[in-house]
Amino acid sequence: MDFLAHLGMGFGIALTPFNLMMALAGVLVGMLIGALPGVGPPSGVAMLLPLTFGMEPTSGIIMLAAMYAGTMYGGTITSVLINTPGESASVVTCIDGYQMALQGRAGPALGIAAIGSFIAGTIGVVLLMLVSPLLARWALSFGPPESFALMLLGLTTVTLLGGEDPLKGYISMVLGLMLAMVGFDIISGEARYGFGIPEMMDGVDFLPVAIGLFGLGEVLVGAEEKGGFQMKGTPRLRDVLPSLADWAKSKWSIARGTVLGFAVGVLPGAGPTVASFLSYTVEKRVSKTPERFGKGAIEGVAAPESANNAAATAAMVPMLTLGIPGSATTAIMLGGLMMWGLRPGPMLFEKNPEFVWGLIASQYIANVMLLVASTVLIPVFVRALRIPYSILMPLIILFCVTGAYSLKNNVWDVGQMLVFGVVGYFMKKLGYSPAALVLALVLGPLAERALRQSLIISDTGVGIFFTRPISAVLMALALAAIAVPLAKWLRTLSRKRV
Amino acid sequence: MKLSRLLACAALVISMGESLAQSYPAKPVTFIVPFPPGGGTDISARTVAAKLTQMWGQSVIAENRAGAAGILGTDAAAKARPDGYTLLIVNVGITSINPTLYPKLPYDPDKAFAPISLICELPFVLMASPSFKPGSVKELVAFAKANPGKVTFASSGQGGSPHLTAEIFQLATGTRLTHVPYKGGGPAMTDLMAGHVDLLFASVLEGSGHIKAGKLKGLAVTHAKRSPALPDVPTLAEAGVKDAESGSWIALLAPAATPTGIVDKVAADVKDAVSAPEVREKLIAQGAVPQASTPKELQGLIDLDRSRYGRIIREKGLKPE
Repeated sequence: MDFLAHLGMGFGIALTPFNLMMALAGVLVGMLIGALPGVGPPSGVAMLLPLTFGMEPTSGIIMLAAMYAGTMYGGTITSVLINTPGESASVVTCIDGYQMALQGRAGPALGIAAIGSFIAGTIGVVLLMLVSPLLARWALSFGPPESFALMLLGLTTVTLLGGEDPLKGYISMVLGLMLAMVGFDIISGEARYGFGIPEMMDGVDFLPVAIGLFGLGEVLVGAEEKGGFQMKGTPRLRDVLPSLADWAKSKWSIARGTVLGFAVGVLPGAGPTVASFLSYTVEKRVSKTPERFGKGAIEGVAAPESANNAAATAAMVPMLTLGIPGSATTAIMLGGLMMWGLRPGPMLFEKNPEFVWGLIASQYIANVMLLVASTVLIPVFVRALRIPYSILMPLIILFCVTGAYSLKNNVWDVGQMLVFGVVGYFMKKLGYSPAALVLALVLGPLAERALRQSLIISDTGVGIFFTRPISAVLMALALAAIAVPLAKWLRTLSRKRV
Repeated sequence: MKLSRLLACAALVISMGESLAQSYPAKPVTFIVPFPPGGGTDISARTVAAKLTQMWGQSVIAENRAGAAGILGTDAAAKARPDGYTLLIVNVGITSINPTLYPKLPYDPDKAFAPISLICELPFVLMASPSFKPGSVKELVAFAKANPGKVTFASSGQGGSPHLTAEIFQLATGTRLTHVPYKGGGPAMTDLMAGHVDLLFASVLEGSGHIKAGKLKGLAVTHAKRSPALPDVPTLAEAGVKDAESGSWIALLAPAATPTGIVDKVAADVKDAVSAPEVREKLIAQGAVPQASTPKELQGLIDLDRSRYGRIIREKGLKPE
């Protein structure tokens, strides 16, 4: 087969000592960047980009792509250990990952995330290789109406994001949507809730909010409880790896996360963050024991962590086949491609096969390296939890502050993070779901833009959402997601009356 | 007595300024880039910064201070010490669009900066979706006049230079098109390719690959001359549309009170940097036209574009995004 020959050539290129070294360096730097809150994949890739200019383009992109995969995993580390998301795609991992850490199961949480990332990344590369052109067409069929329907479906899942009371889930979501309204109106250009402050013009950035709600909020709650981690003895490698029972519980979650992550990752604009949220809610919905979610269910770590890695790989589909960036990070990589003198676009596969196949092969290798590096390092990370809570707490606060600042080198974001730390404290005390708020803040602006673009394009008003097949199916799912719990609730209500 | 003391002081200040310029740069220089890393402006800034580092033997660091359409980074530069060690990278939006679009800037756009030099020009290209019927500017204008408001155009965002270019185009051709704003050029390009929208103005850099591959139709470039990347695509003037020239550019500014000696030295060095073959090559690969200028020429360009874009913003009553 033609592609096997190509793949063989790709491995020939990726397996040279220098390129192997680049992949390893990329994975390690990526894990570090992912673990630092605030410094996400886009800034990481941008920082490393100048380093690659002296290299062969193939070596350069191998390092950047390996780093991208590494950041997806690195973000998990802080989410699990200290409830502080290192980058946006790991926000949802905080929910169950941190609970697992509190129960002394940080090792298995990180382990399953590594295994899930490995499987999802590898399957993602196979899909990238086999069905890229087909997928590119699927991505193009997603216009504004389809995007809106997908975002709406995403928003209906808030009731599943922790919290006992669905009503509180919706209240958190509405709070998040209100925050998403801040900033300039995309069509008329009116400043909304800006109070004349330039920093408010871009709206509320969700990462400082997430760092505050989760990381700082947790520290504030922890400060009054005599909590801490249940850690006994020195963890050994076999204690920190997931058990067979863990694996049995998570294998289908990983599979579902991978497929969902890849499908969402291909779409322009959606990306790993949306993929991770959607896969978490899917897991909770299909689970026979949804009540375990939010209390340390391993599936709640396995699925989103697989999804975000699959999505990171899938984001390269539009970049390689269409020459269009599928995410902020791939946009910067694309800038790199051009600086190396390569023209991304439909012709890349034909004109620079050594580049494309070298990249694909190096993705396999990067995934193996990621698995090895994370397994070796997990005991080290887990040991960090044995630091007494009184010392760990100020460290977490330091981490939150530097993370919020380094996002845009702006003190404003630090203030925002501090405010939401306090908000997070009260939300946690009162049983509201911070994850629902964050999800609404992520999806809100995307949904608003897609909605208004659709209505401008449409000749039939809201009809546009129901006359196009993909959008109609997604809308039906979204409406069902709202109607079914409502019907159940009404039924229990009427029974109570009788 | 007082006068002579004053003169002595003045002489001291002047000679200090000169010796400053001679020893400049004595420590690392920072270019504030008021945009996120990885964009066209950022990459051009880093390319020139790398060359100047080599020429000066001092690090020139590009620092990204993104946010609020570049206003946050610009404000930081306006309030920086005017000693030549903090300079500002701008595009046409910062100097010639923001002052009209945002009436309440935290700095005075007329007084806060001294121009240094242009770095490059970034022409735009008008593209149509493959499924859109008209295949030339002439056919487009006829079609749009027959179907007012039916033709849609995407843009990278409300109030950005590609959007304003489309507004200038409508004014020059007497057509009425419907604006669909996106967040950034990438998503707009995707939807154009799929035919969800009909038209898009974007930089030659973003568009040329797709036009060459036949995935999009290139109707016209907005520069005075044809682009070397798209030799077959006519200019707007050639296609029969007068007074619609537009596009973006990237330039270097200094805080207003920076000593003239330093400004002139940097301007001369940027000129050398931009004409160095390896820098030219990198800028051209990005679809830019490398072009240095004197401080005075840059001021002229800033003023010209400000009146050009200011007019369209006021006439259309546009608000920023």
